Amino acid sequence: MSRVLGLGSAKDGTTHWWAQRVTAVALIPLTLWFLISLLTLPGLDYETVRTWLSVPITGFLAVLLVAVLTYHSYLGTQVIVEDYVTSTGMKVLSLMVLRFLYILAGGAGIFAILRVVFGFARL
Amino acid sequence: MLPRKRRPRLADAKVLSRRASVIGNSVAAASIFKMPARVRPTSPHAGIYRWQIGNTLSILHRVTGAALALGLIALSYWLVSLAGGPVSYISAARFFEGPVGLIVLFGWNFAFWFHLLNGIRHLFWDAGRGFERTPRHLSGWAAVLGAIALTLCVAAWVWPRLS
Repeated sequence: MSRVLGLGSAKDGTTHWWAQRVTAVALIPLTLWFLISLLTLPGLDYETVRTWLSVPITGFLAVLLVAVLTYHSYLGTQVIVEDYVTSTGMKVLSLMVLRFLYILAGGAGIFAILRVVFGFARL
Repeated sequence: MLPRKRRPRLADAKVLSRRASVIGNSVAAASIFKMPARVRPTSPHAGIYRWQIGNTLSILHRVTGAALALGLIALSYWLVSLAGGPVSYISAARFFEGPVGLIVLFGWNFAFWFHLLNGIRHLFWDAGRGFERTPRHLSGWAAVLGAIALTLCVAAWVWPRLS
């Protein structure tokens, strides 16, 4: 049956592998845009960065960046844990903790961007 | 009188050998065939594996990826500090502009460029290209040297702008 479905022993087929590639391709322009934008800002002081990030298109791309980065990084770190944590109990536990940490880091980052984009409009 | 050992029959061997191959373990396979369990070399092990550019960059890809995962936490922290207002932003900026922050940022700088360039190399392999010895080695060196060059470019750009 697993052969019919094209799934391996991990039960997810090529999903993980493919998601890693799709996010990798998406991250090439996103990370380069983010890095070059920051480097070409007149300064990295509070006012400049806030003004830059509160522009809707900047905020939108930054949300995309953090979301895709979080997903890609989670996929990679998951493989590292699966490779080096050998006992099943520890593996399940560390994968769970890892997922929580990533949702926390990604969620906090995205929420922060949204606060900058929407929060300061009312001030 | 000793119990006579039952000789493995062909049908048994078929079933067992399939099991052995599923287990993929030489010890388990040997025990099934009542052979002395002997640990056989199963794959090129770290101890006898000659270091070359392929495995070095493979390891470096994973190490830089793990380093960049920590960078994601730093990025989130920086964004949260920005959303928190000028006071929290300045305290975050003070960390990143300090000696420890600058060294860590320099490390992430290199990790980013190497992971990006070597990642592009991986994407070409996924498309079935660049597997031959010469392009494989050349692209490897290009990734390393390119990453070093771009890291230094960014550092040279940032350094005079530090207050």
